[in-house]
Amino acid sequence: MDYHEMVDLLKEHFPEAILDYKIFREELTIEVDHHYIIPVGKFLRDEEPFKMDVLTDLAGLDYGEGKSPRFGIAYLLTSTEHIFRLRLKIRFGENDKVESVSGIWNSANWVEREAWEMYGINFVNHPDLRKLLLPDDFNGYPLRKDFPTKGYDFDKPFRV
Amino acid sequence: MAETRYMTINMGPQHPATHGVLRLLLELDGEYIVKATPIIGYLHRGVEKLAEERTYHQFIPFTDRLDYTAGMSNNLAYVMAVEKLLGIEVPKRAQYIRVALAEFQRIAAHLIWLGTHALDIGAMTVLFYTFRERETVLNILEHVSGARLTPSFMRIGGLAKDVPENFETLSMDFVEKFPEYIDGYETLLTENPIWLERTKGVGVLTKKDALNYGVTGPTLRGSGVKWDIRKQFPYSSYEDFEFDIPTGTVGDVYDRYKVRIEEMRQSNRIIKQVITNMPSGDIIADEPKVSLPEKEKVYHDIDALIRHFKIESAGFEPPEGEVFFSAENPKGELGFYVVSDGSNMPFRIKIRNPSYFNLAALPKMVEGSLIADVITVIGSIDIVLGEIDK
Repeated sequence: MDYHEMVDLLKEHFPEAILDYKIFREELTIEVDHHYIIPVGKFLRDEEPFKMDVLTDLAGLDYGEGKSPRFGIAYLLTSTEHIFRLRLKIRFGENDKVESVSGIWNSANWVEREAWEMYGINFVNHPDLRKLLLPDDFNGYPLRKDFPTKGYDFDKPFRV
Repeated sequence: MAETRYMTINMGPQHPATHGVLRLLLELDGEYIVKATPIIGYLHRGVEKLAEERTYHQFIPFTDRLDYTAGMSNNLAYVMAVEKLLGIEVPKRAQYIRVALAEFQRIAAHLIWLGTHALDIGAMTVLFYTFRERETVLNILEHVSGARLTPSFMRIGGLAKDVPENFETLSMDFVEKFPEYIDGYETLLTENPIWLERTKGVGVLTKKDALNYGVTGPTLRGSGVKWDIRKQFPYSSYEDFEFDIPTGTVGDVYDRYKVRIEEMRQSNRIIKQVITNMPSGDIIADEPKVSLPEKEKVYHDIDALIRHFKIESAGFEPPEGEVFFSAENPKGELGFYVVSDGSNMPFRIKIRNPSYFNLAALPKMVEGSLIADVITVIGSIDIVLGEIDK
Protein backbone atom coordinates (compact mmCIF):
# COMPACT_ATOMS: atom_id res chain seq x y z
CA MET A 1 0.00 0.00 0.00
CA ASP A 2 1.52 3.31 -0.95
CA TYR A 3 1.33 6.57 0.93
CA HIS A 4 -1.50 8.08 -1.11
CA GLU A 5 -3.73 5.07 -0.52
CA MET A 6 -2.99 5.22 3.20
CA VAL A 7 -4.03 8.85 3.36
CA ASP A 8 -7.21 8.06 1.41
CA LEU A 9 -8.05 5.30 3.86
CA LEU A 10 -7.55 7.64 6.80
CA LYS A 11 -9.66 10.31 5.11
CA GLU A 12 -12.44 7.78 4.69
CA HIS A 13 -12.49 7.07 8.43
CA PHE A 14 -11.80 10.58 9.66
CA PRO A 15 -13.11 13.03 7.06
CA GLU A 16 -12.80 16.08 9.34
CA ALA A 17 -9.54 15.16 11.07
CA ILE A 18 -7.14 14.83 8.16
CA LEU A 19 -6.21 18.32 7.05
CA ASP A 20 -3.31 17.89 4.70
CA TYR A 21 -0.42 15.61 3.83
CA LYS A 22 3.03 15.93 2.39
CA ILE A 23 5.62 13.55 1.02
CA PHE A 24 9.17 14.80 1.27
CA ARG A 25 12.26 12.59 0.79
CA GLU A 26 10.00 9.54 0.82
CA GLU A 27 8.62 10.43 4.24
CA LEU A 28 4.91 10.87 4.78
CA THR A 29 3.69 13.67 7.03
CA ILE A 30 -0.02 13.83 7.76
CA GLU A 31 -1.45 16.96 9.32
CA VAL A 32 -4.24 16.15 11.75
CA ASP A 33 -6.69 18.38 13.60
CA HIS A 34 -5.44 18.37 17.21
CA HIS A 35 -8.89 17.48 18.59
CA TYR A 36 -8.76 14.13 16.82
CA ILE A 37 -5.30 12.95 17.84
CA ILE A 38 -6.59 10.23 20.20
CA PRO A 39 -9.01 8.48 17.80
CA VAL A 40 -6.55 8.77 14.90
CA GLY A 41 -3.71 7.47 17.07
CA LYS A 42 -5.76 4.50 18.29
CA PHE A 43 -6.84 3.70 14.75
CA LEU A 44 -3.26 3.79 13.49
CA ARG A 45 -2.06 1.58 16.31
CA ASP A 46 -4.73 -1.11 16.02
CA GLU A 47 -5.95 -1.29 12.44
CA GLU A 48 -4.50 -2.80 9.30
CA PRO A 49 -2.63 -1.83 7.19
CA PHE A 50 -0.98 0.47 9.70
CA LYS A 51 -0.33 -1.32 13.02
CA MET A 52 1.93 1.49 14.22
CA ASP A 53 2.95 -0.20 17.45
CA VAL A 54 5.83 2.10 18.37
CA LEU A 55 5.89 5.82 18.99
CA THR A 56 9.51 6.39 18.04
CA ASP A 57 9.65 10.07 18.83
CA LEU A 58 7.59 13.10 19.68
CA ALA A 59 8.87 16.58 18.94
CA GLY A 60 7.41 19.87 20.09
CA LEU A 61 7.60 22.72 17.60
CA ASP A 62 7.38 26.48 17.96
CA TYR A 63 6.80 28.45 14.79
CA GLY A 64 7.49 31.77 16.49
CA GLU A 65 5.46 34.60 17.95
CA GLY A 66 2.76 35.96 15.70
CA LYS A 67 2.35 32.73 13.78
CA SER A 68 -1.08 31.25 13.97
CA PRO A 69 -1.34 28.60 15.21
CA ARG A 70 1.95 29.04 16.97
CA PHE A 71 2.78 25.56 18.29
CA GLY A 72 2.92 22.09 16.90
CA ILE A 73 3.78 18.52 17.73
CA ALA A 74 5.24 15.94 15.38
CA TYR A 75 4.60 12.30 16.29
CA LEU A 76 6.85 9.81 14.56
CA LEU A 77 5.24 6.39 14.40
CA THR A 78 6.82 3.10 13.41
CA SER A 79 5.21 -0.16 12.47
CA THR A 80 7.47 -3.06 13.38
CA GLU A 81 5.08 -5.42 11.64
CA HIS A 82 4.95 -3.71 8.24
CA ILE A 83 8.34 -1.94 8.54
CA PHE A 84 7.45 1.60 7.67
CA ARG A 85 7.12 4.97 9.31
CA LEU A 86 4.86 7.98 9.15
CA ARG A 87 4.63 11.28 10.89
CA LEU A 88 1.53 12.89 12.35
CA LYS A 89 1.56 16.59 12.85
CA ILE A 90 -0.80 18.78 14.82
CA ARG A 91 -0.91 22.57 15.12
CA PHE A 92 -2.49 24.54 17.97
CA GLY A 93 -2.35 27.85 19.77
CA GLU A 94 -0.78 28.75 23.10
CA ASN A 95 -3.95 28.26 25.16
CA ASP A 96 -5.18 25.11 23.47
CA LYS A 97 -5.11 21.84 25.35
CA VAL A 98 -3.69 18.72 23.77
CA GLU A 99 -4.69 15.19 24.73
CA SER A 100 -1.78 13.08 25.91
CA VAL A 101 -1.11 10.00 23.79
CA SER A 102 0.69 8.21 26.62
CA GLY A 103 -2.39 6.04 27.05
CA ILE A 104 -1.87 4.71 23.54
CA TRP A 105 1.92 4.47 23.48
CA ASN A 106 3.72 4.40 26.82
CA SER A 107 6.86 5.88 25.31
CA ALA A 108 5.06 9.22 25.02
CA ASN A 109 5.28 9.69 28.78
CA TRP A 110 8.76 11.25 29.01
CA VAL A 111 8.76 13.00 25.66
CA GLU A 112 5.50 14.74 26.52
CA ARG A 113 6.91 15.86 29.84
CA GLU A 114 9.81 17.29 27.90
CA ALA A 115 7.55 19.05 25.39
CA TRP A 116 5.57 20.48 28.31
CA GLU A 117 8.59 21.93 30.11
CA MET A 118 10.38 23.11 26.97
CA TYR A 119 7.43 24.65 25.11
CA GLY A 120 4.68 25.04 27.69
CA ILE A 121 2.31 22.78 25.77
CA ASN A 122 -0.73 21.97 27.92
CA PHE A 123 -1.24 18.24 27.97
CA VAL A 124 -4.40 16.80 29.47
CA ASN A 125 -4.77 13.27 30.88
CA HIS A 126 -1.02 12.87 31.27
CA PRO A 127 -0.26 10.49 34.17
CA ASP A 128 2.77 12.29 35.57
CA LEU A 129 3.31 15.82 34.30
CA ARG A 130 6.45 17.01 36.10
CA LYS A 131 9.68 18.68 35.00
CA LEU A 132 12.05 16.18 33.45
CA LEU A 133 15.30 17.76 32.30
CA LEU A 134 14.96 21.18 33.90
CA PRO A 135 15.21 22.03 37.60
CA ASP A 136 11.87 22.21 39.42
CA ASP A 137 12.14 25.96 40.07
CA PHE A 138 13.01 26.90 36.50
CA ASN A 139 10.88 29.63 34.94
CA GLY A 140 10.33 29.99 31.22
CA TYR A 141 10.18 27.67 28.25
CA PRO A 142 13.69 27.26 26.82
CA LEU A 143 12.91 25.88 23.38
CA ARG A 144 10.46 28.61 22.46
CA LYS A 145 11.78 30.86 19.76
CA ASP A 146 11.58 33.96 21.96
CA PHE A 147 13.75 32.43 24.70
CA PRO A 148 17.26 33.91 24.57
CA THR A 149 20.18 31.59 23.97
CA LYS A 150 22.66 33.79 25.79
CA GLY A 151 20.92 33.48 29.16
CA TYR A 152 18.48 35.63 31.08
CA ASP A 153 18.85 39.41 31.11
CA PHE A 154 21.94 39.18 28.99
CA ASP A 155 21.37 42.58 27.40
CA LYS A 156 20.69 44.38 30.69
CA PRO A 157 23.47 45.94 32.79
CA PHE A 158 24.72 43.85 35.66
CA ARG A 159 24.05 45.37 39.07
CA VAL A 160 26.01 44.49 42.20
CA MET B 1 -3.07 -1.05 64.15
CA ALA B 2 -0.84 -2.56 61.56
CA GLU B 3 -0.06 -0.27 58.72
CA THR B 4 2.16 -0.78 55.69
CA ARG B 5 4.68 1.94 55.22
CA TYR B 6 7.30 1.98 52.55
CA MET B 7 10.76 3.33 52.98
CA THR B 8 12.02 5.76 50.39
CA ILE B 9 15.70 5.88 49.67
CA ASN B 10 17.71 7.91 47.26
CA MET B 11 20.25 6.38 44.91
CA GLY B 12 22.63 8.69 43.14
CA PRO B 13 23.29 11.13 41.51
CA GLN B 14 26.86 10.43 42.64
CA HIS B 15 26.76 6.68 42.67
CA PRO B 16 29.44 4.70 40.84
CA ALA B 17 27.01 2.09 39.55
CA THR B 18 24.53 4.48 37.96
CA HIS B 19 26.92 5.15 35.05
CA GLY B 20 26.74 8.90 35.34
CA VAL B 21 24.61 11.43 37.14
CA LEU B 22 21.42 9.41 37.36
CA ARG B 23 19.30 9.70 40.48
CA LEU B 24 16.76 7.08 41.41
CA LEU B 25 14.09 7.44 44.04
CA LEU B 26 13.36 3.94 45.33
CA GLU B 27 10.31 3.06 47.35
CA LEU B 28 11.09 -0.09 49.28
CA ASP B 29 9.13 -2.78 50.99
CA GLY B 30 11.98 -4.34 52.94
CA GLU B 31 14.50 -5.31 50.28
CA TYR B 32 12.01 -5.21 47.45
CA ILE B 33 11.30 -2.34 45.08
CA VAL B 34 7.74 -1.07 45.06
CA LYS B 35 8.38 1.84 42.78
CA ALA B 36 11.42 3.38 41.15
CA THR B 37 11.44 6.92 39.81
CA PRO B 38 14.38 8.06 37.70
CA ILE B 39 15.31 11.72 38.05
CA ILE B 40 17.43 13.05 35.24
CA GLY B 41 18.62 16.35 33.82
CA TYR B 42 21.78 16.95 35.85
CA LEU B 43 23.79 17.09 32.63
CA HIS B 44 21.33 19.10 30.56
CA ARG B 45 23.13 21.43 28.15
CA GLY B 46 20.31 22.40 25.83
CA VAL B 47 21.91 20.89 22.75
CA GLU B 48 18.70 21.18 20.74
CA LYS B 49 18.48 24.90 21.47
CA LEU B 50 22.14 25.42 20.62
CA ALA B 51 21.59 23.72 17.27
CA GLU B 52 19.09 26.38 16.27
CA GLU B 53 21.72 29.09 16.12
CA ARG B 54 24.48 27.18 14.39
CA THR B 55 25.02 26.17 10.80
CA TYR B 56 24.60 22.54 9.92
CA HIS B 57 28.34 21.86 9.96
CA GLN B 58 28.86 23.57 13.28
CA PHE B 59 26.54 21.13 15.01
CA ILE B 60 28.71 18.06 14.27
CA PRO B 61 30.98 18.43 17.37
CA PHE B 62 27.90 18.57 19.62
CA THR B 63 26.85 15.13 18.47
CA ASP B 64 30.12 13.64 19.76
CA ARG B 65 29.16 14.74 23.21
CA LEU B 66 25.79 13.03 23.30
CA ASP B 67 26.74 9.41 23.76
CA TYR B 68 30.40 9.96 24.52
CA THR B 69 31.25 6.28 24.19
CA ALA B 70 30.18 6.29 20.55
CA GLY B 71 31.25 9.54 18.91
CA MET B 72 31.62 8.12 15.40
CA SER B 73 28.17 6.55 15.41
CA ASN B 74 26.59 9.82 16.56
CA ASN B 75 28.40 11.72 13.81
CA LEU B 76 27.13 9.23 11.28
CA ALA B 77 23.48 9.53 12.33
CA TYR B 78 23.59 13.33 12.23
CA VAL B 79 25.40 13.82 8.93
CA MET B 80 23.18 11.26 7.27
CA ALA B 81 20.09 13.11 8.50
CA VAL B 82 21.36 16.31 6.89
CA GLU B 83 22.35 14.45 3.74
CA LYS B 84 18.83 13.08 3.53
CA LEU B 85 17.46 16.61 3.89
CA LEU B 86 19.74 17.81 1.10
CA GLY B 87 19.13 14.71 -0.99
CA ILE B 88 22.79 14.03 -1.74
CA GLU B 89 24.47 10.72 -2.38
CA VAL B 90 27.77 9.92 -0.68
CA PRO B 91 30.56 8.13 -2.62
CA LYS B 92 30.80 4.39 -2.05
CA ARG B 93 34.25 4.53 -0.46
CA ALA B 94 33.08 7.06 2.13
CA GLN B 95 30.05 4.89 2.91
CA TYR B 96 32.25 1.84 3.48
CA ILE B 97 34.70 3.71 5.68
CA ARG B 98 31.78 5.08 7.69
CA VAL B 99 30.49 1.58 8.26
CA ALA B 100 33.92 0.36 9.38
CA LEU B 101 34.32 3.26 11.81
CA ALA B 102 30.79 2.92 13.19
CA GLU B 103 31.32 -0.80 13.76
CA PHE B 104 34.66 -0.20 15.46
CA GLN B 105 32.88 2.30 17.65
CA ARG B 106 30.19 -0.25 18.43
CA ILE B 107 32.84 -2.73 19.55
CA ALA B 108 34.50 -0.06 21.72
CA ALA B 109 31.16 0.92 23.27
CA HIS B 110 30.15 -2.68 23.92
CA LEU B 111 33.52 -3.39 25.50
CA ILE B 112 33.15 -0.50 27.93
CA TRP B 113 29.63 -1.76 28.68
CA LEU B 114 30.79 -5.33 29.30
CA GLY B 115 33.63 -4.27 31.59
CA THR B 116 31.56 -1.92 33.74
CA HIS B 117 28.47 -4.15 33.77
CA ALA B 118 30.52 -7.08 35.04
CA LEU B 119 32.27 -4.81 37.53
CA ASP B 120 28.90 -3.66 38.91
CA ILE B 121 27.88 -7.23 39.54
CA GLY B 122 31.20 -8.09 41.12
CA ALA B 123 33.21 -9.73 38.36
CA MET B 124 36.15 -7.39 38.37
CA THR B 125 38.53 -9.31 36.11
CA VAL B 126 36.54 -8.73 32.93
CA LEU B 127 37.17 -5.00 33.02
CA PHE B 128 40.92 -5.39 32.58
CA TYR B 129 40.54 -7.61 29.54
CA THR B 130 37.88 -5.51 27.82
CA PHE B 131 39.83 -2.30 28.32
CA ARG B 132 42.87 -3.92 26.76
CA GLU B 133 40.96 -4.52 23.51
CA ARG B 134 39.17 -1.21 23.74
CA GLU B 135 42.56 0.46 23.76
CA THR B 136 43.44 -1.21 20.45
CA VAL B 137 40.16 -0.06 18.90
CA LEU B 138 40.57 3.47 20.21
CA ASN B 139 44.12 3.56 18.86
CA ILE B 140 42.78 2.70 15.42
CA LEU B 141 40.07 5.38 15.69
CA GLU B 142 42.66 7.87 16.94
CA HIS B 143 44.94 6.98 14.07
CA VAL B 144 42.12 7.74 11.64
CA SER B 145 40.50 10.80 13.19
CA GLY B 146 43.07 12.19 15.62
CA ALA B 147 40.81 11.85 18.65
CA ARG B 148 39.90 9.04 20.98
CA LEU B 149 36.65 10.25 22.45
CA THR B 150 35.28 13.08 20.32
CA PRO B 151 36.27 12.38 16.71
CA SER B 152 34.01 14.82 14.76
CA PHE B 153 35.36 12.95 11.78
CA MET B 154 32.32 12.79 9.52
CA ARG B 155 31.41 15.69 7.29
CA ILE B 156 28.17 16.44 5.52
CA GLY B 157 28.72 14.73 2.19
CA GLY B 158 31.50 12.41 3.28
CA LEU B 159 34.50 12.33 5.56
CA ALA B 160 37.05 14.85 6.82
CA LYS B 161 39.87 12.95 5.12
CA ASP B 162 40.76 9.55 3.79
CA VAL B 163 41.91 6.83 6.15
CA PRO B 164 45.69 6.42 6.57
CA GLU B 165 47.50 3.83 4.46
CA ASN B 166 47.98 1.26 7.19
CA PHE B 167 44.34 1.41 8.31
CA GLU B 168 43.58 -1.82 6.53
CA THR B 169 46.44 -3.78 8.06
CA LEU B 170 45.73 -2.39 11.52
CA SER B 171 42.05 -3.30 11.22
CA MET B 172 42.75 -6.74 9.85
CA ASP B 173 45.19 -7.46 12.70
CA PHE B 174 42.50 -6.63 15.19
CA VAL B 175 39.68 -8.40 13.36
CA GLU B 176 41.65 -11.64 13.14
CA LYS B 177 42.39 -11.73 16.85
CA PHE B 178 39.19 -10.33 18.31
CA PRO B 179 36.85 -13.40 18.15
CA GLU B 180 39.30 -15.25 20.36
CA TYR B 181 39.16 -12.46 22.92
CA ILE B 182 35.35 -12.57 22.94
CA ASP B 183 35.57 -16.28 23.70
CA GLY B 184 37.84 -15.31 26.56
CA TYR B 185 35.23 -12.96 28.06
CA GLU B 186 32.63 -15.64 27.66
CA THR B 187 34.66 -18.19 29.61
CA LEU B 188 34.69 -15.70 32.47
CA LEU B 189 30.95 -15.02 32.43
CA THR B 190 28.57 -17.01 30.23
CA GLU B 191 28.53 -20.19 32.30
CA ASN B 192 29.72 -18.70 35.56
CA PRO B 193 27.21 -19.78 38.26
CA ILE B 194 27.42 -16.46 40.11
CA TRP B 195 26.84 -14.55 36.89
CA LEU B 196 23.86 -16.74 36.00
CA GLU B 197 22.40 -16.32 39.48
CA ARG B 198 22.65 -12.57 39.25
CA THR B 199 21.37 -12.13 35.69
CA LYS B 200 18.89 -14.90 34.79
CA GLY B 201 15.29 -13.92 35.28
CA VAL B 202 16.26 -10.45 36.51
CA GLY B 203 14.85 -7.25 35.05
CA VAL B 204 12.48 -8.96 32.65
CA LEU B 205 10.95 -6.81 29.93
CA THR B 206 8.35 -8.56 27.80
CA LYS B 207 8.12 -8.10 24.06
CA LYS B 208 4.87 -6.16 24.34
CA ASP B 209 6.20 -3.81 27.01
CA ALA B 210 9.44 -3.28 25.12
CA LEU B 211 7.56 -2.03 22.06
CA ASN B 212 5.13 -0.02 24.13
CA TYR B 213 7.96 1.78 25.91
CA GLY B 214 9.75 2.48 22.63
CA VAL B 215 12.84 0.62 23.78
CA THR B 216 15.40 0.03 21.01
CA GLY B 217 18.76 -1.56 20.37
CA PRO B 218 20.07 -4.59 22.25
CA THR B 219 17.49 -4.01 24.99
CA LEU B 220 14.67 -4.52 22.48
CA ARG B 221 16.39 -7.44 20.79
CA GLY B 222 16.98 -9.06 24.17
CA SER B 223 13.20 -9.10 24.56
CA GLY B 224 12.91 -11.12 21.38
CA VAL B 225 12.05 -8.51 18.76
CA LYS B 226 14.13 -8.88 15.62
CA TRP B 227 14.48 -5.19 14.93
CA ASP B 228 17.67 -3.57 13.75
CA ILE B 229 17.73 -0.32 11.77
CA ARG B 230 20.73 -1.61 9.80
CA LYS B 231 18.51 -4.37 8.40
CA GLN B 232 15.06 -2.77 8.46
CA PHE B 233 15.97 0.59 6.93
CA PRO B 234 19.48 0.01 5.54
CA TYR B 235 21.73 3.05 5.28
CA SER B 236 25.33 3.70 4.27
CA SER B 237 25.57 0.45 2.26
CA TYR B 238 24.72 -1.88 5.15
CA GLU B 239 22.73 -3.92 2.64
CA ASP B 240 26.06 -4.98 1.05
CA PHE B 241 27.22 -6.85 4.12
CA GLU B 242 26.18 -10.13 5.64
CA PHE B 243 25.42 -10.17 9.33
CA ASP B 244 22.89 -11.68 11.71
CA ILE B 245 20.67 -10.02 14.26
CA PRO B 246 20.97 -11.85 17.57
CA THR B 247 17.82 -11.91 19.70
CA GLY B 248 16.93 -13.13 23.17
CA THR B 249 13.86 -15.01 24.32
CA VAL B 250 13.00 -14.02 27.88
CA GLY B 251 14.07 -10.38 27.92
CA ASP B 252 16.10 -10.58 31.12
CA VAL B 253 19.55 -9.20 31.90
CA TYR B 254 21.21 -12.40 30.70
CA ASP B 255 19.52 -12.19 27.29
CA ARG B 256 20.68 -8.63 26.81
CA TYR B 257 24.19 -9.73 27.78
CA LYS B 258 24.11 -12.53 25.20
CA VAL B 259 22.78 -10.20 22.50
CA ARG B 260 25.55 -7.65 23.00
CA ILE B 261 28.27 -10.31 23.08
CA GLU B 262 26.98 -11.68 19.79
CA GLU B 263 26.73 -8.17 18.34
CA MET B 264 30.44 -7.71 18.85
CA ARG B 265 31.06 -10.84 16.78
CA GLN B 266 28.74 -9.54 14.06
CA SER B 267 30.44 -6.12 14.05
CA ASN B 268 33.74 -7.90 13.68
CA ARG B 269 32.32 -9.78 10.72
CA ILE B 270 31.10 -6.56 9.10
CA ILE B 271 34.48 -4.84 9.49
CA LYS B 272 36.17 -7.81 7.85
CA GLN B 273 33.83 -7.55 4.85
CA VAL B 274 34.30 -3.80 4.62
CA ILE B 275 38.08 -4.05 4.60
CA THR B 276 38.21 -6.86 2.02
CA ASN B 277 35.75 -5.14 -0.33
CA MET B 278 36.90 -1.55 0.17
CA PRO B 279 36.25 0.36 -3.06
CA SER B 280 38.54 3.13 -4.23
CA GLY B 281 37.39 6.61 -5.12
CA ASP B 282 36.41 9.89 -3.49
CA ILE B 283 35.70 10.26 0.19
CA ILE B 284 33.41 13.26 -0.11
CA ALA B 285 30.51 13.99 -2.45
CA ASP B 286 31.08 16.31 -5.39
CA GLU B 287 28.66 18.97 -4.17
CA PRO B 288 30.52 22.30 -4.29
CA LYS B 289 27.86 24.13 -2.27
CA VAL B 290 27.78 21.60 0.56
CA SER B 291 30.93 19.52 0.88
CA LEU B 292 34.19 20.93 2.14
CA PRO B 293 37.25 20.90 -0.16
CA GLU B 294 40.24 18.72 0.65
CA LYS B 295 42.12 20.27 3.54
CA GLU B 296 45.49 20.09 1.77
CA LYS B 297 44.11 22.13 -1.14
CA VAL B 298 42.86 24.86 1.18
CA TYR B 299 46.47 25.82 1.95
CA HIS B 300 47.60 26.08 -1.67
CA ASP B 301 44.59 26.78 -3.85
CA ILE B 302 42.66 30.07 -3.67
CA ASP B 303 39.44 28.57 -5.02
CA ALA B 304 39.47 25.85 -2.41
CA LEU B 305 40.20 28.42 0.28
CA ILE B 306 37.23 30.56 -0.76
CA ARG B 307 34.96 27.55 -0.89
CA HIS B 308 36.14 26.36 2.51
CA PHE B 309 35.59 29.80 4.01
CA LYS B 310 32.16 30.18 2.46
CA ILE B 311 30.92 26.80 3.67
CA GLU B 312 32.38 27.16 7.15
CA SER B 313 31.09 30.68 7.74
CA ALA B 314 27.84 31.08 5.82
CA GLY B 315 27.02 27.39 5.49
CA PHE B 316 24.54 26.14 2.97
CA GLU B 317 20.80 26.44 2.61
CA PRO B 318 18.90 23.18 2.35
CA PRO B 319 15.38 23.12 0.88
CA GLU B 320 12.42 23.72 3.15
CA GLY B 321 11.18 20.49 4.65
CA GLU B 322 11.55 17.99 7.43
CA VAL B 323 13.27 14.63 7.65
CA PHE B 324 13.88 11.98 10.25
CA PHE B 325 16.89 9.77 9.99
CA SER B 326 17.95 7.18 12.50
CA ALA B 327 20.92 4.88 12.79
CA GLU B 328 21.52 1.78 14.85
CA ASN B 329 23.87 2.98 17.56
CA PRO B 330 25.47 0.80 20.22
CA LYS B 331 22.75 1.90 22.65
CA GLY B 332 19.81 1.72 20.28
CA GLU B 333 18.19 3.84 17.66
CA LEU B 334 19.67 7.33 17.52
CA GLY B 335 17.53 9.57 15.36
CA PHE B 336 17.64 13.17 14.27
CA TYR B 337 14.46 14.96 13.30
CA VAL B 338 15.66 17.96 11.31
CA VAL B 339 13.28 20.73 10.25
CA SER B 340 14.57 23.26 7.78
CA ASP B 341 12.96 26.60 6.96
CA GLY B 342 15.31 27.16 4.03
CA SER B 343 17.88 29.20 5.96
CA ASN B 344 21.45 28.18 6.74
CA MET B 345 20.60 27.11 10.29
CA PRO B 346 18.21 24.34 11.31
CA PHE B 347 14.77 25.51 12.40
CA ARG B 348 14.50 22.62 14.82
CA ILE B 349 16.56 19.56 15.65
CA LYS B 350 14.99 16.92 17.84
CA ILE B 351 17.28 14.18 19.01
CA ARG B 352 15.73 10.78 19.47
CA ASN B 353 18.15 9.53 22.09
CA PRO B 354 18.05 5.76 22.63
CA SER B 355 19.25 5.68 26.26
CA TYR B 356 16.44 8.04 27.24
CA PHE B 357 13.71 5.69 26.04
CA ASN B 358 15.52 2.68 27.48
CA LEU B 359 15.80 4.36 30.86
CA ALA B 360 12.09 5.26 30.80
CA ALA B 361 11.40 1.52 30.87
CA LEU B 362 13.63 0.98 33.93
CA PRO B 363 10.82 1.37 36.54
CA LYS B 364 8.91 -1.38 34.76
CA MET B 365 11.93 -3.68 34.75
CA VAL B 366 12.85 -3.31 38.42
CA GLU B 367 9.33 -3.42 39.85
CA GLY B 368 9.20 -6.12 42.52
CA SER B 369 12.87 -7.02 42.32
CA LEU B 370 15.58 -6.75 44.94
CA ILE B 371 17.44 -3.52 45.50
CA ALA B 372 20.74 -5.13 44.42
CA ASP B 373 19.15 -6.01 41.08
CA VAL B 374 18.61 -2.35 40.25
CA ILE B 375 22.36 -2.05 39.69
CA THR B 376 22.30 -5.10 37.43
CA VAL B 377 19.41 -3.77 35.38
CA ILE B 378 20.95 -0.30 34.96
CA GLY B 379 24.11 -1.98 33.71
CA SER B 380 22.16 -4.14 31.30
CA ILE B 381 20.30 -1.31 29.56
CA ASP B 382 23.65 0.43 28.98
CA ILE B 383 22.77 4.07 29.48
CA VAL B 384 24.91 7.14 28.95
CA LEU B 385 23.69 10.21 30.76
CA GLY B 386 25.30 12.62 28.33
CA GLU B 387 22.80 11.43 25.80
CA ILE B 388 19.78 11.20 28.08
CA ASP B 389 20.16 14.75 29.37
CA LYS B 390 21.01 16.25 25.99
